[in-house]
Amino acid sequence: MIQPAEFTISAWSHLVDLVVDPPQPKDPIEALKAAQSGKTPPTLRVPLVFTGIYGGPIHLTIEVLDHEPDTVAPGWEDVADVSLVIPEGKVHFNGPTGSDSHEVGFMSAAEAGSYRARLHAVGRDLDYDVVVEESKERHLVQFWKAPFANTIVLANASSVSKSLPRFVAMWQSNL
Amino acid sequence: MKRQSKASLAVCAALFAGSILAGPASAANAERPAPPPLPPTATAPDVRKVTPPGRAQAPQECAAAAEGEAVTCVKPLKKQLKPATGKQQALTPMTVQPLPSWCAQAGTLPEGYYSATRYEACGNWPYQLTVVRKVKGSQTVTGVMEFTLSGFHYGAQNQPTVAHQITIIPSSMTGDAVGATASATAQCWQNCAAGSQGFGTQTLTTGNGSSGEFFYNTTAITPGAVGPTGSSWNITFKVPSASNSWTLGSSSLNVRCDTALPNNASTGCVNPDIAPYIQYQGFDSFGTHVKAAQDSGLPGALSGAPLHRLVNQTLRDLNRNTACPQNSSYPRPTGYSCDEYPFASTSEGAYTGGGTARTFPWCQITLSAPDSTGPVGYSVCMINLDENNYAGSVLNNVLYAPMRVIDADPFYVHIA
Repeated sequence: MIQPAEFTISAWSHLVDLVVDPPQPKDPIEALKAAQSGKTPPTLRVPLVFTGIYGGPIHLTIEVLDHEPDTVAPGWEDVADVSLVIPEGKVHFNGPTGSDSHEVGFMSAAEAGSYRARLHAVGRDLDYDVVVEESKERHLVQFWKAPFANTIVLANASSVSKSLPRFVAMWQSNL
Repeated sequence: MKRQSKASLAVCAALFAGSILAGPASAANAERPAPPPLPPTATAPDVRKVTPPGRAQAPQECAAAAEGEAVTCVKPLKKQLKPATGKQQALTPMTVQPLPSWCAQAGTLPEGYYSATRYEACGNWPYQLTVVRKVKGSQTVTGVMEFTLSGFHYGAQNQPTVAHQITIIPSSMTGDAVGATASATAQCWQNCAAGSQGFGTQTLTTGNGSSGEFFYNTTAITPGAVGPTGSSWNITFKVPSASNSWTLGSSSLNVRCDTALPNNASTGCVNPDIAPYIQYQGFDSFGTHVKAAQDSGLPGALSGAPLHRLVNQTLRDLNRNTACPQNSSYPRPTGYSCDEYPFASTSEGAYTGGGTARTFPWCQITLSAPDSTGPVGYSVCMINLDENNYAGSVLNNVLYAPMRVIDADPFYVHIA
């Protein structure tokens, strides 16, 4: 299961990715043949965290819930619920194209499936579209298992958040 | 920009219909965005004919037979052979992988040439084995076998192992060539540890493929390691009546294994001479800018010089800050972000590539100096934020990571 976590991670191109590496056959020859014949599931890479800064550190908190929260957590400018399917595998958050990676657990076959992610952000407009050295932007991602559903924007105070629904539709169309 | 097909537009519209903007109704109405671009089908399997550089074999001469003696030799055959349709008889317990469809479509190739993608390389080479006997002072051909030698080697994105398999498929055998046998051994060149292999002595028969496979592991498995490698087979042919045997060499392309992808602890092996490309389709704002930038002479188009990946974070930041400085210099219209080409994550980027800026009339940027021209310099443009982000995301998630584009690797960008 994804484990709760709190860390600083470097964004690039306004993004931090959720990455799930599928388990591989233990025998290296079987693993190679499975990969060559397309029998190995591909690595999942979802640009789940959409930042205001172009690049640099953000503060990211990960929470895993039993069910949809009863209320929206206070203190966040932007809040949106999105759906994604998380397969079996090692789960981590990566700064795209960089060297920053944080592992947050392993999704078993029983745990894999459709999830809802509530994306919270504050500070997206502070250093919009620039590379920063210090973090002013915070994000919280809450996961709970739920059937696939439409994207719902619960708060969109920042100007950046206006672009989120179309962006989510883009990456969902490629999953 | 190329127009999307009706079918593609229908898919996009259906996807967007699933997105709901909750909140003030007026905001929802005012901010309804355009349909998203097509899924960035992006990348790279690109079949090209390549020959292993510097590994061409010196041609061997067929030996002359002594009186009453028979000798054999194998030479490339300059004609197309029918594709083999017979079953393959791989040695138990090995089961060779079927050849990719693009391999058969490429037909037979000159000796040593391959069709290749980033991870796979394949070739079908026609040969002729002849048996010559000296009878009453004259050299007489007493047996011929025409055959196709297939070579196929492949690595994978997240595997430290490389496979190299060969198959010999006779299409005809006559006279003294009947009963010919083949045996083979394989080796890897450098930065590797040889693993299992199998191609014991096999009797060749028309229409049946005799196969063997070889596996080796890279030793470039420590973080940051890059290990050029490759492999070759030596195939020895014998015919019952001949006094000699003939050994035919078959080398792979150069292979590169690495554990050098940023953000990725995996080891994988590619054909480094096959530069991948990413294809963007339906990215109206981003695609228009990149196409205009390429048309103005900047590198990266399929028809021109490639871009090269830049991993160094400090230099990438400098590239980005040089091309798209703080908001006060280039104010960002609402919903737009600054796009730079060549990308900041390439050594052709604004700082590391040098030169000065250029822009285009629709880009909402006023430069303080005249536009640069030609292949040196960079282009800047304000484009839709969501599209810019998505284009950046797939650059990593469709090209850099899946194609194992490591530091300094060349690649291309194609706007469909």
